[in-house]
Amino acid sequence: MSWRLAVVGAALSLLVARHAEAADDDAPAVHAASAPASPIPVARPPRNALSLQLMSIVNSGVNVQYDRLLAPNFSFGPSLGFRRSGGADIDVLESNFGIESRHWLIGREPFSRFDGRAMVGPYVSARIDFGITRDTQNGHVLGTQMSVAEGVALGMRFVIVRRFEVTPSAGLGLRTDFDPRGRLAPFWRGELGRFAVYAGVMF
Amino acid sequence: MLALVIWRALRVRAALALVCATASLTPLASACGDSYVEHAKVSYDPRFGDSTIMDIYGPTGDGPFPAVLMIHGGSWSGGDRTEYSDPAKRLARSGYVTASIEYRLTPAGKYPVDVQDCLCALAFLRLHADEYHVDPARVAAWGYSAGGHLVSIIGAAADEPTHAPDCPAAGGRPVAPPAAVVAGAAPEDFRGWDWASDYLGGHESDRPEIYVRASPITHVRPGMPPFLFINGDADLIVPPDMARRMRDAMVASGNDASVLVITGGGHLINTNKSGAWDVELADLTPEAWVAAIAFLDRTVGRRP
Repeated sequence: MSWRLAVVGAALSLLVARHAEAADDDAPAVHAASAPASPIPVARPPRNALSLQLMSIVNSGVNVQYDRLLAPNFSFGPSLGFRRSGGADIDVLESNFGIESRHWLIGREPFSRFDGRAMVGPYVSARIDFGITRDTQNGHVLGTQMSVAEGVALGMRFVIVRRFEVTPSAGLGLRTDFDPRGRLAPFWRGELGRFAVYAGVMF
Repeated sequence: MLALVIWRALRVRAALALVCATASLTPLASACGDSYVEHAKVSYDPRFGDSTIMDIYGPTGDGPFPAVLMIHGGSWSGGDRTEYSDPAKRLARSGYVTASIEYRLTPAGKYPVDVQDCLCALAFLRLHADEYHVDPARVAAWGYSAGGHLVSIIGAAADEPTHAPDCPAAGGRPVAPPAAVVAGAAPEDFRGWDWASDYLGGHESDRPEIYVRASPITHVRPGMPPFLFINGDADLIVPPDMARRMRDAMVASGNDASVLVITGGGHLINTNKSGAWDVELADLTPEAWVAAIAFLDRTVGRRP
């Protein structure tokens, strides 16, 4: 199922990218006068990005993140995901909502042709995730656990083709699990390594 | 109306749990009623010094409480009891006495020496049940990787003569298996699996009988304690197929066994809430915790 969603997501990304490029074509070229000799056309920096967390697909889930540029070097946006696991005797359903803010350190990277700073290149980020995990066995709910995870990361967004981007990141965090019914005492764990790869489209 | 009342009650409980989750990071934890008592470095076999000690954590109160013997991993050659300190404390704050143990590691602790140590620790916990407020009939075992193998073998073959410990706590008597087993990423079958030659004292071609005897799956028979297996399906070290085969054999023999397969889970790398990967054991992921506590509550029961 997650693969189907990924295909649908890719198709939507293509549509968004084409729409965004058409909008750029209609708009006056910002640098047409100031850099007439440049053979490489420049595009207006996109202010939005929609990305899929690729590792979530490997884990039989989907996690989609939206980024909105709020300042020249600062973006902010939510993510939403779910994941199925188990499948032998016990089924697991996880859902997740997160918020991430990114500080774009340079605003440029070697492969993009944006005019000025953009949501590309290296960044540092902070995020918080809220998740719910529910296990069932033979239709009977075994229990539910909620998690709050905070983390920081260092990442790099590459523009691979036109407006398509790939963003690997690594970081660390802290996860606190708790049982909403009080069955299990709260539990916290350090997440010493967090590895993520996003891919998506900027528009 | 009733649904509204229930919904509001659940919201209040969720809010309280969130407050306590935050408080657990601070000395305020005891205010949430989830404190525990600790007995550090308790020796269960004085002959081997710090190689055979355990940290015991328990709920406040007189009990008797169900207990969980926790056995760390590390390829039978590394690791220590502190790997399970935090999970042991969580279980203690949830109503279980827990004992996170050391056992002799290779080269001194080659099979079956470490199995004898684990059974000795189990016997010690039962022998001192009154002191640690343990119900001796409700002692489960939980381990991961090499520790998963050890909990599986003491669950499946505690009565194997070569496994019998000669420590004072055992008193020369056979040690009964644990009442339930949570086996994470456990090598259940050494035959055809080449990661344990140091531990088993040679390659399979040289010591086939040891490979058979050390494999929990070869001891499956009726009357075994309930097992919960927890495995990542992307575990490249201990393939989850071992757990599935063990589960199938146990169920075919009339035993209670189930498998939680963590999709995309590895031996040491698992997914986190945002879908990213992080360094975490499969049996400590939220989904594993939910399954494990439900299993323990069902099999050994949390409250007397």
